[in-house]
Amino acid sequence: MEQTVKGKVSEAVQTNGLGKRYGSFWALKDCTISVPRGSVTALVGPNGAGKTSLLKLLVGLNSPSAGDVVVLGQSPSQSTSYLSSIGYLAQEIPLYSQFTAADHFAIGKHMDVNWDNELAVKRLQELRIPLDRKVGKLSGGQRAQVGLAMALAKRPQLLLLDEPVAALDPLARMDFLTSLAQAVTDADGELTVVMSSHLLADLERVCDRVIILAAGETQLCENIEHTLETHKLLVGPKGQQPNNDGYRVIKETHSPTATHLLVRLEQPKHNLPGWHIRNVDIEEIVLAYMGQNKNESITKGDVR
Amino acid sequence: MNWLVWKQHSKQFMIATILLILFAALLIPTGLHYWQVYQHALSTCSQSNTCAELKGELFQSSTDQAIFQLEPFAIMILPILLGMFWGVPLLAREYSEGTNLLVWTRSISRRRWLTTKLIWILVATVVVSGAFTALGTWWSKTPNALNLDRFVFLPFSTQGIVPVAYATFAVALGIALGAWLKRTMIALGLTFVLLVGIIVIVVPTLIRPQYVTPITVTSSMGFNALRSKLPSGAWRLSMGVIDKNGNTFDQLDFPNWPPQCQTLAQTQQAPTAGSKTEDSATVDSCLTAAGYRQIARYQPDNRYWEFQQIEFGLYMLLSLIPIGATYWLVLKRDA
Repeated sequence: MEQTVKGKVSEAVQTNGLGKRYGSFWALKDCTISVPRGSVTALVGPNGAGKTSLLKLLVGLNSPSAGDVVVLGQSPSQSTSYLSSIGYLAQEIPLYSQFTAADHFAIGKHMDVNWDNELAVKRLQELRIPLDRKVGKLSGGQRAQVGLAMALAKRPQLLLLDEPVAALDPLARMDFLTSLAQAVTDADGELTVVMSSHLLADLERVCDRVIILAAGETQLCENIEHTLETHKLLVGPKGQQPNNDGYRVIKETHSPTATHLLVRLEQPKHNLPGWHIRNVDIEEIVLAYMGQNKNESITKGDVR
Repeated sequence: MNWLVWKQHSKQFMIATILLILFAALLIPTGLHYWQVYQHALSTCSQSNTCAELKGELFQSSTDQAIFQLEPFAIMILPILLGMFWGVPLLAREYSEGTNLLVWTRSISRRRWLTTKLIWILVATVVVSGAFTALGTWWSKTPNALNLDRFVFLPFSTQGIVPVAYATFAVALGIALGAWLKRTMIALGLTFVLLVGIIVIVVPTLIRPQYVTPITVTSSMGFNALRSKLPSGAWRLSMGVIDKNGNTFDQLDFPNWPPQCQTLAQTQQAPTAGSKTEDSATVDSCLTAAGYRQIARYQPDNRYWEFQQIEFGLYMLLSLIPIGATYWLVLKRDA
């Protein structure tokens, strides 16, 4: 109860030990994240990491096998009050290929309580996307824009996008992200976005937070700036061992001449004797987490 | 929501309407014509007392025969076609194209979405199959009167009220299998096999005869003797022979005959061709004298509407199973 009230105040999404099992396979395991209202969060991880499963749990399309989830102060459900506050764009952007964009907007008009038709039409007109052509005949980028308009014109408080740009060419991808950024600006802090992607370059452009999922588990869930401050590359002479004093090693590589450690510092301090400290970008951090997890699962597999 | 259902399915409804118009264009003129011909033949034959032979005389042209076979066939496959092409795609297409995720994340509940879709498709099914069946039933008054066979398999299954119940069940089953399998082609195949199995094979042969206990009739030996005991229009379920101890046989094989009747048959076999009926009559009376009787089970014609109602109710109740399963699959299963 307390958590629900707290969720209403500051968190758009709060999960605790959330898990989803299909048969005997855990697609998502022990996922604990929180997403502040008004933030734009990138949900990253390799294919099969559980990104889609997590988003479907948040939308209420699937029900959890373990743990708790609170979204906008309620548990996800199939009720009008819940659905009307969520905008969702599913992977591969499903649309009725025989319908025009205008037909899709008519669906919104008939089935959404807060539908803003003017907004939807204006978005497509600005992008010069024909409203009267069957969406099956539009380009991938144009279809993605129709899908985004369908989600945004609901006037949701939380927008959940599942790999919206994965199938788009670089130009369409940029257009899409620009549209998204514009929508976030227009909403003036009233819109929270969670966007999954395995394209790392996307996230720095529009996102201020990152959640890293790998092998169904949460690796990291925090502010991107903070992530950049606390993750550093330590470079030392060949054979130097990490001592884990004040940091945790995420990834360790040895070259013939040097040892490289990608570490998470317990606090942003800059004095580690014997190591050169270098900044890393978000892409390297994400890759390090993914790689670390891969090694772990191999070990686990060997034990079994 | 109603708007979306119409937008998605109006084409299917139009196709059904066109087929109905074509069907009417064939049945209305031929139905009127056949009835007229039959009535005319009836008035002529009653003067010459040859009405019993009308069955073999009227409508023998190949065109007429084709229409007489096409009509019940069309009504028989209608429920199967509706189940396959209306029922299966209703949800299977949404699942296979992912559009269920688009509509389930609008602001109305899945339950309301599904209920609206189901009501419209089931109402359309009843209306369309009802129109086809009414037309076919009206048209069939000539063959019914001529052949007195409305209670046997194909006429019974293609007239009255039962085709509407078949169609309702077929569409409900198609919807459920489409939702379960999520793939149109596989669901189409399974729907076809199950519907043929249930509607065409299992129910008419194994279940329908049992709705009401059949009437048993016995007669002296000989097919004609037995037939004279069966009321006209009766649906004959089985025919056989019963001995004096009450054992029944499908047929009485020659080696099991009493010796005196075997000898009788053998002596009669050779010389007089042409007097066959007389010969078998003596053999039949020999067998009758030995204690054998013909036996038959049948359903009389006056149970026709009772059977129609029972079968209608059976299929309507049966439809609740796939409908319930569909609600469960859509509301409870992960998307």
